[in-house]
Amino acid sequence: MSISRRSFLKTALTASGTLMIYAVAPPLAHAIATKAFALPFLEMDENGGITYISYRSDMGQGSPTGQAQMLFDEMDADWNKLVAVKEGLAIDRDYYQDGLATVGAVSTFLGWKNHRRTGANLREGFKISAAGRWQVPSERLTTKNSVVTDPVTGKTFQYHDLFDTITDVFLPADAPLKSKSQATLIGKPIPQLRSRERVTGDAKYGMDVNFPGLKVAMIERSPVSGGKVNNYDAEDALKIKGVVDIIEVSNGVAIIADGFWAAKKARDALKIEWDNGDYETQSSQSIAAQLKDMLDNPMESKDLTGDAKTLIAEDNGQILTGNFSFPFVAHATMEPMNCTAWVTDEKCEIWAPTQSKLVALEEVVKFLDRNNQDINLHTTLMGGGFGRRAQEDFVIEAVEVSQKSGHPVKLIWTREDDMRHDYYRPACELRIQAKLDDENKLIAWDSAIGYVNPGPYHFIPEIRELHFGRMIGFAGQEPAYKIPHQHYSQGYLDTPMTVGILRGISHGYTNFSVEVMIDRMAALGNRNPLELRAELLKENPRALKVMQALQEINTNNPVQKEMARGYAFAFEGKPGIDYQYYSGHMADVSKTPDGSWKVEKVWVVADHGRVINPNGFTRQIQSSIAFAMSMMRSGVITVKNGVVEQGNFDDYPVSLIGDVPKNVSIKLLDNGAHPMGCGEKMQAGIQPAIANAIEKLSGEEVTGIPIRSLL
Amino acid sequence: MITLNVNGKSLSYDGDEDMPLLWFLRENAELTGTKYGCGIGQCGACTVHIDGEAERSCTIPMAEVGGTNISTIENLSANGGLHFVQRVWIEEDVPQCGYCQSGQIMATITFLEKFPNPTDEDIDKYHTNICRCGSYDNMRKAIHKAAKLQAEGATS
Ligand code: FES
Ligand code: FES
Repeated sequence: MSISRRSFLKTALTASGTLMIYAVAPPLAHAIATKAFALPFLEMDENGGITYISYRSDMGQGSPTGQAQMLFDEMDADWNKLVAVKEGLAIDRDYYQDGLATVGAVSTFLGWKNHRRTGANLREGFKISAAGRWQVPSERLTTKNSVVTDPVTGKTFQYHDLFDTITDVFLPADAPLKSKSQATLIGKPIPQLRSRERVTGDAKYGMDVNFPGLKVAMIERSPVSGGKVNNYDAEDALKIKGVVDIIEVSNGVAIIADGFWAAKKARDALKIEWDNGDYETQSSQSIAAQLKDMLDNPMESKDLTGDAKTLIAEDNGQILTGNFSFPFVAHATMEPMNCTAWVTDEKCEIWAPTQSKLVALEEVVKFLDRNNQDINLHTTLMGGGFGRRAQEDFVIEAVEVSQKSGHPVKLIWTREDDMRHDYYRPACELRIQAKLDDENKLIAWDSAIGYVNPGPYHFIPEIRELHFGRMIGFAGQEPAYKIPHQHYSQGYLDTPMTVGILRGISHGYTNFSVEVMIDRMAALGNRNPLELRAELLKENPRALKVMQALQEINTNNPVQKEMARGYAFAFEGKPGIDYQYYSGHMADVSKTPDGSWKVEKVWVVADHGRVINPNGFTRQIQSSIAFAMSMMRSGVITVKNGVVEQGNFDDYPVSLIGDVPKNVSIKLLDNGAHPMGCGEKMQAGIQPAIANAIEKLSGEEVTGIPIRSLL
Repeated sequence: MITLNVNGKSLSYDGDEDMPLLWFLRENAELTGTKYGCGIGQCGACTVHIDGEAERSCTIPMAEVGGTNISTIENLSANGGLHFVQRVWIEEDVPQCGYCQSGQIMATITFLEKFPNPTDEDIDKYHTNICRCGSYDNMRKAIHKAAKLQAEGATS
């Protein structure tokens, strides 16, 4: 069947009787998708067993499960016939409509469109096919659990009985989509796929790739960010048993050995003289000082509405100033970075636990200066991502080591490598000035930010030089609140220390600061903090509903003695577009006998549109709370003489089971809007709610994170 | 030459005796279910049973394991079935990325031998494996459920 404009699906029957279904991505006007191509999407075997091919990375966030739910629901396929999930191969980025990075909300947000569309068209295809065999109108047929039924005659066809004819059926392009009430799988709490292999040790992560002849590689990288090798002495290192080769590479000196231990011992025995470059004069304090200076001497500024600066300078009303400071934060995925590469004269095979398979592939193409067709990039399972694996650095490293050494290598980063050479969440300084008029109304808002610039390291190489690339460093600076006068400014500091996206990106600090200011303003004006937010959001109906739902919970659950309650609101997008979500957060915090803080209870009210899988959604909120609390309590990366001081979980502790609240209450307002997913979206609201409770409890102003103890 | 028993098989090793058991299991024995997370005994991803005790294999040099009986995550389903802790792990939908879960399960099995009827406080205090995905809420439920199954006589 030819690919026509009407149909974006293509089918083919293999000799063994498996029906292959391809989705055709249409060409787009912009550079990354100029050709239309078919990509394998589904395989249905002769018994009706379905293999779903997932193009998004599986790092535990549940996207293959949610996407398969959307597809099977619209297709009216039998969920019990889902026999396997296969990793879609990165072949050529032109094949896809987007960069296929698994970041932000894409699996759900974009998956919603193409998975449902594909499912509905296939369902109609099976109906048309059955109608042809029975010679009845297709409109009267029904579908359920991979079966087409003719209610008049009572006859049925299993989907796999129809493979012969569906190949000849002109698949429709615009079959009707189901309504919310017709959904059979969307919205159901289905357990995550692939759990069995994750509890037996059978699941293969990047670290587990193995084949005969594979060597282990390790790189000693410059301790000072941006440093270069002056010279090195490998004599002692080469004496270690099991060491195969030691070579200089772009990022330092690489050891190739028979196994991890030999590589590590050899690396410890290496003597390297570094050219440290300029960054060795820098420390967390000096970086913070430069960022602070940008608050008064911004590089960009704008009046969004009105004239906030003038109003704030006037001598009336009340002015509230908040100063906030945020350190670098590391991802510390459970599985440290790693990648396996085998470069030969003709071919290059790569096994990468990457969140960004197409960018990684493209960068390898550039690096090796070869054709896409000669490079196979397999995406493995991955032990967490949190944004770190959207960067391609570790893939290029492995390819370089394999190419230069001639060996197939599994490049392993130790935990220390992982923590000291991360793409950190940028350090930043923020100052917000807000003015309340004589009636305690918020009339002016002036927000200044200075951040370490993630733009040059953006996970999408094409936008590294653009203003848009820097967005991940300051997004969320402008609140959703209706304030008549708003002024914004920013400055950004370029450093050789790599920074990038971390679960929730900049909203983690921008929205944090906004929400702390709002609770303070409520206290100053003697207002209920949720009513104040509701008032400021009254023109945004979905946001308003979230605040009202939280207010109801607040009223029904009085704060217990010895605890304090904090509130927060988080959002992205705005009315009128698909991309929008809103959440309300409330946290009760108590003081422990040793002067520390303990989160007793957390409430989350979320309107993230349609909820594909309430189980998965709830798990991601729980996950976000643990992540947020690690960061707030101890997730701090500091720099001294240009070197990252932390290296492992002993000096960068993360939440354990006993650290997270046992009491978490979640209310999902599924109003049928475009689904947004949840994996990274909760960071921005959980932390300020906790921070606000801590501020109330201690009476001391919160100035950012970490918050180690109560004064 | 060091000989040790891994999952019922006798294996030998004559390399560097400083090498942690973790790398012997992952590279020599090709049992990759046991994971590397920190290498310094902090995270528990490398937890295995040595003579029936849960140990963090990244901190145990080969020199210390001669003559021991070691059981790894692979051993639990060696006969095709699942251990009851693995079963509740699936039922309670615990794994997110799953990378920490071999260690979590191995730690839970010996934890339940010591605390057959654990309180939340026992779990908080003695279950100290890191899960960066924060699967703790489901995990706590799974531990309690596993304790119940154990009390009802489940052994594997
Ligand atoms: S790898 Fe052994 S405790 Fe972390
Ligand atoms: S499930 Fe990912 S670290 Fe535990």
